[in-house]
Amino acid sequence: MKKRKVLLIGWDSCEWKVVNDLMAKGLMPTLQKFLSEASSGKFATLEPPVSPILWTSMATGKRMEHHGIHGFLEPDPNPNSPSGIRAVSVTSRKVKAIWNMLNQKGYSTNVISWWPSHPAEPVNGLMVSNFYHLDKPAKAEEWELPEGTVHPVELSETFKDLRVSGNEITAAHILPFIPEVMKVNQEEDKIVSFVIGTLAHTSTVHNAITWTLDNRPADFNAVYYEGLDHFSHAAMKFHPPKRDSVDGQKYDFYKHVVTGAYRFHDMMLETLLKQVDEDTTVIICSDHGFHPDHLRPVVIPKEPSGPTVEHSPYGFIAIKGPGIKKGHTFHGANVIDLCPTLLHLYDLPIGKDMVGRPLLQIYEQPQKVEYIDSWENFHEGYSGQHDPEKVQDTYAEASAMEQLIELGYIENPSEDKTLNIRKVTEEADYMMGRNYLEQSKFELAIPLFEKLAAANNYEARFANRLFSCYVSTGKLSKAKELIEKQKSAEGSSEPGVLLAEGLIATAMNDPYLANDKFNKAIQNGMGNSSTYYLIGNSYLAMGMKKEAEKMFRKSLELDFENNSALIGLGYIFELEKKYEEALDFYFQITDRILYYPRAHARIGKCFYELGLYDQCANAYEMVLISAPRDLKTRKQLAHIYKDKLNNQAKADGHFKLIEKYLKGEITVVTGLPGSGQSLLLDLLIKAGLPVFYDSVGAPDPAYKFFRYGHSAVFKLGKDKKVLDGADEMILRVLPKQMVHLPSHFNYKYILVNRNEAEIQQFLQKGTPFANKGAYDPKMGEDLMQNKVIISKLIEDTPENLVLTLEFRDICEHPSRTLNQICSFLGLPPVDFKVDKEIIKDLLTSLY
Amino acid sequence: MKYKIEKKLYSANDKLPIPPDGSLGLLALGYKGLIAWRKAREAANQQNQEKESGK
Repeated sequence: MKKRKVLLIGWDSCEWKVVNDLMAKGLMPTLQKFLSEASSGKFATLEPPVSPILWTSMATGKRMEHHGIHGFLEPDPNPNSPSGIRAVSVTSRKVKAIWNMLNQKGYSTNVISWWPSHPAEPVNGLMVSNFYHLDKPAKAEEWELPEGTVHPVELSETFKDLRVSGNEITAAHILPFIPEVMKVNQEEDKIVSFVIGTLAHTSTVHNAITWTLDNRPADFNAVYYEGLDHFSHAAMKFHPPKRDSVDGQKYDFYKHVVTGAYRFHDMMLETLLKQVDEDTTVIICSDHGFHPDHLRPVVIPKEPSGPTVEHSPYGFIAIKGPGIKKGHTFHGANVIDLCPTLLHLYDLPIGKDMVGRPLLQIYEQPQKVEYIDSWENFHEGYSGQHDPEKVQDTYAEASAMEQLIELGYIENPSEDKTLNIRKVTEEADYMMGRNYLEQSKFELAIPLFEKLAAANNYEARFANRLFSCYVSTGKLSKAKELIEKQKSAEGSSEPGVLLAEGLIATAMNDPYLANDKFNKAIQNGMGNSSTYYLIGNSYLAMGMKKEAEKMFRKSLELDFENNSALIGLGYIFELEKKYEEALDFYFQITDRILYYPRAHARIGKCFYELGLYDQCANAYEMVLISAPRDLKTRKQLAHIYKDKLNNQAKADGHFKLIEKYLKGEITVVTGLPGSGQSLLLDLLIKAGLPVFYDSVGAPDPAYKFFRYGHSAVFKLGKDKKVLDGADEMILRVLPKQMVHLPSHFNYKYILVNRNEAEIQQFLQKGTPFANKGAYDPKMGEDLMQNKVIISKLIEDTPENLVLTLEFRDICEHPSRTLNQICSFLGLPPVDFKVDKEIIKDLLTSLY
Repeated sequence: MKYKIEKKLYSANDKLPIPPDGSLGLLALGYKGLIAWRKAREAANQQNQEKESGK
């Protein structure tokens, strides 16, 4: 069998929308031909979308908390460093990259300009670091090649001469990018010099890889081009179609830059492809995309890494080679899958500690995947890694820092070393917090964001993410406190505060308050697609479908790819039993994104209602691929297999998983005796909500007020399984019984509150203490014990799992209360109108 | 100063002059294009210098 050879080409920021547009115009013929013979797809990025972090994840198969690269900069251990900080070094990487693993198994590797890769690692092959293409520092006299740029060092002179300086670039090179370059006032407008510099850097890297492929080809050759990212940051704002916020003259000057950049990369690709044979597997990929359309941000935040808001979440990947499907589109790939995919291409095992998985869907005949515990525990062979104590020279740092400042990724370092180190450490913590947030590791993200917010006067980028963590974990009181602190912070905005208050109201299942806040946020200038979606959602929870539809449509006008708004709109049609119309909206999502559980769940429901059970089952299976713990879907699917498709084997498979791993959910109604739970439950039953109760109720006359409960609750101390019929239902539980609730359910709580004097009056009816203004001592003791239990419940339970209702509100606003409960239970609002007369009748019959 | 790009149609196997000012095509060829361009540029500079000194 022939030895596998790979050419890996990294095009930072390569965006499918631009590629597709240019290919349609015949302007990227090389890539177009390549794709017709390759497997390709979207390449989802990771949070935070910061290039040195991402390209390291791609090379190692690990996320940043494991690989050690935390941003553009890091504290410099060199005591002679003038600023105390440096561009991130490869010596900070704590784990092996793909080239180290391949070296250990006897493969040779060439790596050009990976980010980060300075100083160059002593691999079995050749490595040219990402400092190679940097310009001469402003204060330097000679354009030296920084020490440690090239391995082996004997090739330094060769590569030194292959660099292109910006001074060499002529009008012949620039005119295809900027035809009217002679009209630009280059003293004031720095874009021309930036384009010149980027072209020089890109060509420098290209010279290095082309020389390497001709003169020192290896089993694995990798090259990273930063060019598309830099051209895009400079000029995507001027890319057609013109936006109103863009200056007309500048648009005319720079509207060809991005197209020129992509076409130039296509030309370079042609050269590279001619240098490899048909047996070489070629991979072209990017770490993220770059918004080229209506999603381009109008404002770039003035903060470190601010320009990353221009990045889009899906990059590009295409793979061509022996055994790879041709002209095939695949889905579900993530940048973290690159390293496992490369290992699998070389028939090497994947580390179980790697997050990604090999892209098996690209193969004509997929081979079995082998695993080892970790490549970090594999010590055979030569890996080509650095001695961790390696120290760099500071000359190289100056130039690397200048480039990052020019891009807007970092601020100019101050003369205060301590301040610089603090700021860089804070940025690293911020990146790590975002990384944890994406993985829903809130318990790790919260301490980082709390520290950052407190130390930086609740700056919006820290406070907003902390807010998101608090809301996600139900810490709504802390979220409210945070809003108060943010109000006085710099950069705080009225609409931002209103939006946050609306999100808390949503989390507390008060769609009425949420609606009010979101509407005010829009009136104060926050009229974007997301806010219109949020308003639509609140109208839906209030039972106002027409208004909700209007808002969802407005949201889609502003962003036709707002998936949440598409789902909202589809759901409205579902509620009106117009299932085919609903499907039209859901398919708009799944046509673009293969794995989208929310959309597939709704598609499954529509097919079920239409009696198309095979399609329904397929849709639910898709949900479970991405969300295997979705109990509701799994149960529905199991029943469909059993009752509709006569497939008992598949049904049993799902029932076994449900029984073994998954918990049901019960909503508990509780509160002090006499607080109004019976009234509430009677209302819920009349409205058709699922209440688990029986006519037996309480066995003991002492619990005479325990109406609409289930006798099973009194057997909980002896048999935990008595509640198995209560799954997904509402169940009344006395506070003292809650300690016996079985652990194989998840719980939400509806707590009914009432003024204690009223409770006392109610409970003492017919007793010698009635209307005497004094507690029956036994009742008083009982009440106190129940209060302690309820306080503990509130303390121990995330706030978003507790809905507190006031007795008075149930009586005064019964319809609103019902809608709040439906929102809390994740149910559509009920079409049940109840007024005060009905409440009065209920109160009379109950009490 | 106006700069004019001359457009011509070429066929396969045509020998093309390397413009001293370079081109994107030469950059796209990689190190070979760079070396050829620098050679042509050096030759053009030398020619200019000779013309200047011959005046």
